[in-house]
Amino acid sequence: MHLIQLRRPLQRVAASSCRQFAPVLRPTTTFSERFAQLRINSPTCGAAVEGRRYASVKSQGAYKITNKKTLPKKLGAKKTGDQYVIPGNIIYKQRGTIWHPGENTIMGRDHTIHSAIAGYVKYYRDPQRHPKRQYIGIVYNKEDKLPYPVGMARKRKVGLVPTVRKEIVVDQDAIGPSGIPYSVTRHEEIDVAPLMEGGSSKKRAALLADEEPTVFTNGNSVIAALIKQKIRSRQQQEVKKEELRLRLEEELTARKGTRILRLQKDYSYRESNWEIGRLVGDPGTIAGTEKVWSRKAKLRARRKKRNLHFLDYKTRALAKNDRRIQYKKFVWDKRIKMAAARAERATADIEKKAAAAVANEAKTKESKTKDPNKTDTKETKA
Amino acid sequence: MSRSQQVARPIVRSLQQGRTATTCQSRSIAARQFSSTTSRKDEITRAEPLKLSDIPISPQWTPEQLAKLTSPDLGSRRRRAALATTTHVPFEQMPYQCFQEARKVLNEDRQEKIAQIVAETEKIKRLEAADPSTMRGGEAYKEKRLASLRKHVEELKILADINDPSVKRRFEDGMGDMSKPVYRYLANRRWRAMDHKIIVQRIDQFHIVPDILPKFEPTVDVKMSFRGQVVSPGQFLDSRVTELAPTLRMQVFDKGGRLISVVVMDSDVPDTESDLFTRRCHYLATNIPWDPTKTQLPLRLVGSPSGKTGGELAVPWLPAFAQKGSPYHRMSVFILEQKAGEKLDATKLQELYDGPGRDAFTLKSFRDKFNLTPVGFNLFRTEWDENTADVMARHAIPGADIEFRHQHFKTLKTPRAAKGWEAKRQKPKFKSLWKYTKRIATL
Repeated sequence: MHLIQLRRPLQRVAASSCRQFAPVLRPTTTFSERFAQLRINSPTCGAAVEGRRYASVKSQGAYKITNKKTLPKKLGAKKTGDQYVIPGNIIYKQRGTIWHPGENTIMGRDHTIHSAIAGYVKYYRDPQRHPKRQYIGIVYNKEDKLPYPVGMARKRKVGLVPTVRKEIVVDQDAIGPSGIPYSVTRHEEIDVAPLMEGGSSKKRAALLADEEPTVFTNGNSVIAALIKQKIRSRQQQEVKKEELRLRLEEELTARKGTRILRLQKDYSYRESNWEIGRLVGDPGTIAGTEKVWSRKAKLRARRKKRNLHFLDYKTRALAKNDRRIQYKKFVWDKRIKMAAARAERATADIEKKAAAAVANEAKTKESKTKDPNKTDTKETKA
Repeated sequence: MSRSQQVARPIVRSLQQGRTATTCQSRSIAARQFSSTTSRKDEITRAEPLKLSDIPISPQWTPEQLAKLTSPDLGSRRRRAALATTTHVPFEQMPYQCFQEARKVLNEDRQEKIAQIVAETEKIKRLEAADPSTMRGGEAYKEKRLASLRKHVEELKILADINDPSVKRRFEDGMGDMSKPVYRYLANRRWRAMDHKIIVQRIDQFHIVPDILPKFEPTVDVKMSFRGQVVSPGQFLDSRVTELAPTLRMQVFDKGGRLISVVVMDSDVPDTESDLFTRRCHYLATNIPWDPTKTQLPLRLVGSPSGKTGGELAVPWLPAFAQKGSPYHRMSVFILEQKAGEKLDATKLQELYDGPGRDAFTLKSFRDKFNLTPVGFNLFRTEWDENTADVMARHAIPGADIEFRHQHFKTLKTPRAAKGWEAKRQKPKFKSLWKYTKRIATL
């Protein structure tokens, strides 16, 4: 940088201070006028300091914006008929569909026709497919003609190369080739406040033990029993929820206690940065890490959440309904089965009774008929 | 009969009906699961108060408690009133005047149709007995006339019952007897309404028609389920799901028994040596007796000694699999109808298509060789997934260690001298910059 350039601001200040005397003598000047004079680029001082000015903007007609409408679009055929192409080659650039994609070609977003296979380009018409359209297709053999005859199996080539499949090994060796472990896990002892002495489980046990057979004296007692059952189940659910929360907390503390140190390129061991970051807590849970959202974003998030909730609500309701229907069906089937069994038993009983009655009758008859005989025999014996 | 008696007659009759019904048949329990008609009260409501036997017994409840629960004194006034007054009225005797008048009209129509059927069958008999040489058109004319008459009789049979509300009801409840023409007609109409259209679309969009067969029109409803789950045609299925053979749910719509063959084939087996896709037979069973009343065909049980399905297994089930990197495989299930009374030789089929013959399978040649007509179709697709390797190992299928990659084509562009900042700084003069300039893919 030239010395003159460096000096300029100083010169400016000096110049402005020099000119201060004149306005001071004039009592009519206002504060605003004085401040205007103090400004660095005030017109009065600028010309004196900077010297001559050159045109920084070119005069009219020196340049013009190029007309986009007359730019060449370079449309048209890029490959001729029977020319060899490989997948992805552009065959035809166009506005609109002058040519349609036919056999083994793909049309791009701007109606450009690309080849999908390696082969030879054919320009053709297919009146069976469309009476007026013209198509571009690719064939494997140069001699083939498009369109192929109707009912012929498609001509396809595999276009794949067999390689050895690599198993994605998730579990890496613990020890590296140099004989030192890839990672070291360090468990730190952290003082954790002891959990409530099995409080929740005790509570739950008590809840379970509470269940006692209800006495049905009238219809209201049935309903009362149902209500009781409902309340109990709700309490149990709450207890379960509490247990889950406690377990999650425990897990978090355990996670905070263990630190995995990984082998670095320079043979040092250290934790990865994100893991160090997570030691404080998961993102969103730490105060001050919340995202500062715009008003609109907040609204959007709220709407999304609400929608999600309602979607979930619907699925839950449907699931519940399904469960209800299943249960009803189960009960109904069971009833039918039991009724059938009962009917069978009843018929069996009736049959038995009938058989017994018949047998009885027969016995009585026999005894009636036998009695004289018996007496006869006795008589004969006598 | 006096005027008042005449007026009261239908009511009395219905009451009598109700009484007899309740005495002879305590309750009609009808399991209606698929009904779209509104359920009627005669099926669920009961004329008597709740019985003990109607309630599922919980071990906690004593009989006394149960008796109290089921007493007619319990419940709202409306419930008690309903229990006291509901009677059993059969569907045909519902006391709606319009309904009964309509039934009369329909009955008249039915009688008309039946009379026509009788007349036509007599005509057929006469024609059958007649000598074709007396006719102007000869034997051909006679055959044509007979066929047309028989067709007409079949149409009349359908027309006789098609308007019957009880027929419609029974069909919608899934209780229709498929040996009767009217239910077959209704089932066919229902199939054609949607499922047939879907199958036809799949045949078209998955290029089944030019690839596997040059021409094909399905006439049998074929649905497929794996492990009890019905799969929609063309669905991608996990290889663990398709490890066991599916169960087919088939419905034919023309009368009479027949023998069918079932083929499951893969039409997209990549063969990199010839660079072409080949076919593979995954399953082949033959001589399976089938008629309109049958619905389920578990492919797993065909040919098993205890199987009720009948038929013979020629090629056992090979799980569907696709090697990694290969495009999806279309696994198509074909039902082929055999010529009437012609049984195929299962051992011969086994020789032809089992083992190494699996790979040489083509449906066209199979169809032509054994004089079969493809009638039913369904399909699913399979891709490489995380279970495929295990499935292939379990069934000793080789090729799980292969992964297909796309063939690389050499660019058609002429090589050009490299341009740019990096290209300029490749010389040893700029050795200090090599770490930035040397590892660039385009150079």
